[in-house]
Amino acid sequence: MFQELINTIVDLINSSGFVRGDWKQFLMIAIACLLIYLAVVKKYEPLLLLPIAFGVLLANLPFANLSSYDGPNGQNAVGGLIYYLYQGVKLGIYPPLIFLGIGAMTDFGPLIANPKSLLLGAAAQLGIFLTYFGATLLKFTPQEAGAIGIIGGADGPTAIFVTSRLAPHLLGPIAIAAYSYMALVPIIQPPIMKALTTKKEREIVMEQLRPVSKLEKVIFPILVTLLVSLFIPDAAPLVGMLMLGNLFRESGVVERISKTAQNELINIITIFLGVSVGATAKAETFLSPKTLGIIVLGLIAFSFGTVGGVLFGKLMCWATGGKVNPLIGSAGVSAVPMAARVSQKVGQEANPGNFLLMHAMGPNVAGVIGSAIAAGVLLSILG
Amino acid sequence: MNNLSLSVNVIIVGMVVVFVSLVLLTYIIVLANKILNAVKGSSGNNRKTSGNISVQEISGTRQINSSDGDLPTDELIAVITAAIMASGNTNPGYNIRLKSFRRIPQTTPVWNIAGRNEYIAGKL
Repeated sequence: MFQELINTIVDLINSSGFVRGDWKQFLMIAIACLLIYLAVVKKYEPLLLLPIAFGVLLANLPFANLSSYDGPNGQNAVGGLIYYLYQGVKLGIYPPLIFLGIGAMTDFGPLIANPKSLLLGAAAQLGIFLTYFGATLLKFTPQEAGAIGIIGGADGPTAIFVTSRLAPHLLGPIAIAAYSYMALVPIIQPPIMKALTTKKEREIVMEQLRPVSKLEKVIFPILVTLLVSLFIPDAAPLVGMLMLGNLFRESGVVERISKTAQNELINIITIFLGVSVGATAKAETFLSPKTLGIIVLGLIAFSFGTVGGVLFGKLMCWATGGKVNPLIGSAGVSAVPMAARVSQKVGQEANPGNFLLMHAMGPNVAGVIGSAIAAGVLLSILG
Repeated sequence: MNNLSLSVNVIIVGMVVVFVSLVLLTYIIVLANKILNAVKGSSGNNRKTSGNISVQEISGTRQINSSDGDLPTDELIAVITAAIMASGNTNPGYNIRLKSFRRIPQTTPVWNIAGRNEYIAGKL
C-alpha cells in the first residue's frame, strides 16, 4: 500500500515537466522572464513585448504543446489555441489589420505640409538593404536575409509580415529583435545623430509648417494607395490598410469605425499577434547561432537606417541653403513617434528654443510608407 | 557568387524603387496641393464678389469699437469672453465684467507647448 503510494508519487514526479523538460526549454523560460522584466519594469515596447514574452514562456513549457506549431496531428485531431491564433500571422492577416489601426491613429498632416520629407523616409530604408547584403555574406539564405534586413525598417508589423512570408522559422527572433530595438531608439540613435552632424547643423530652426486642409488629408490616402499599389502590388496589403485606416480618420464620417480601428481592433489583434509570434520561439529553433546573428544584424540594420536618414538630411540641408535640420532625417526609420521625439530631444539639446517635433513627424510617417514599400520590393523579388 | 549578385540586385532595385515611388508621391502631393489651391482661388473670387457687403459691415464695426491698434478683433474678444463665461458658469455681465484683454509673455514650459501642439494636431 505504502509502496504503491510512493510509486504513484514517483511516477507523477517523473512525468512532470520538471523532470522531463529539456535544459533548453528552461533556458527559454528564463529568457521569457527576462523579456517580461524588460516589458514591465523597463517599459520596452510593453504593448507587444509583454504578449510576445508570455508567448515564448507558453511555447517552452515542457509537454504543454502550446507553441504556434502544435497543430492537429492525425485525423479528427484538433490543434491548440495558439496554433489557431497563429494562422492570422501565417496567412498575413494580423499585420495589415495592425496597419489599419495605425493608419487611423496617424496624422499625415506634417508630411502633406512638407512632402520633401518623404525623401528622408526613403533614405532611412538604406539599413534594410545594407543589412540584407550583410546577412547574405553571413551565409543566410536570400529569404532569411530579406527577413532580417526588414528589422532596419523599425516597423514591427512590417517585419512580421515579411518574415511570415519569407522565413517563418525566424519569426520569433526577428520579432523580438525588431521590438527590442524599437524600444531602444532613444539609446541607439542619439550617438549616431551627433556623430554625423555639426552643432551648427543641429541648431537650425526650421520654418513653421503650413496648415493642411481637410480635403488634402482626405485625398492623400487615396493617392498613396493608388500609386504604391499600382507600382508595387506586394506592398498593397500593408499600404492599403494603412491608408484605409487613415481615410476612416480623416473623412470624419465614420467616427465609430475609426475609433474601433484605433482602439478595440488594434488591441485585440496586438494580443493575438504578440502571443502567437512569441509562441514560435521554441527552444530548438531559437537557441541557435542564427539568433545571435539576427540580434547583431538587427542592430546594424537599425543603425544604418539612422545613418541613411541623417546623411540625406545633411544633403537636404545643403541643397536648401540650411533650411532643413538634418536631425529630422533620423526619424525616417518608422518607430512612430519615438524616432520623432528623439529628433526633437537632440535638437533641443543643441538649441533649447528649437521645436523639431512636428517637422520630424513628416519623415517619421514617411518611414512607415517607405518600409512598407521596401517590404513589397523584398517580397516581390525574394518571395 | 549567385547569392552575391542577387544581393547587389536587391540593394540597387530596392533603393531605386523606394526612392522613385516616394519621389513620385512627393510630386503628386505638390501637384494636388497646387490644383486644390487653384480651385480654391477661383471659388474664393466668386465668393468675394457676392459677399462684399457683409465684409464691409464687419470692418466698419471694428473701426468703431477698436480704439487701440494692438487690441484683438471684436470677434476674438467675443469668443474669449464667451469661453470665460462658459467655463465659470457665470451669467453674462453678472459676476465678471471684462474690461480689456492684454497679451502677456509666454510662461508655459516648452514641453507643455510641444505636447499641446501635438495633441491639437492629433485632433485636427
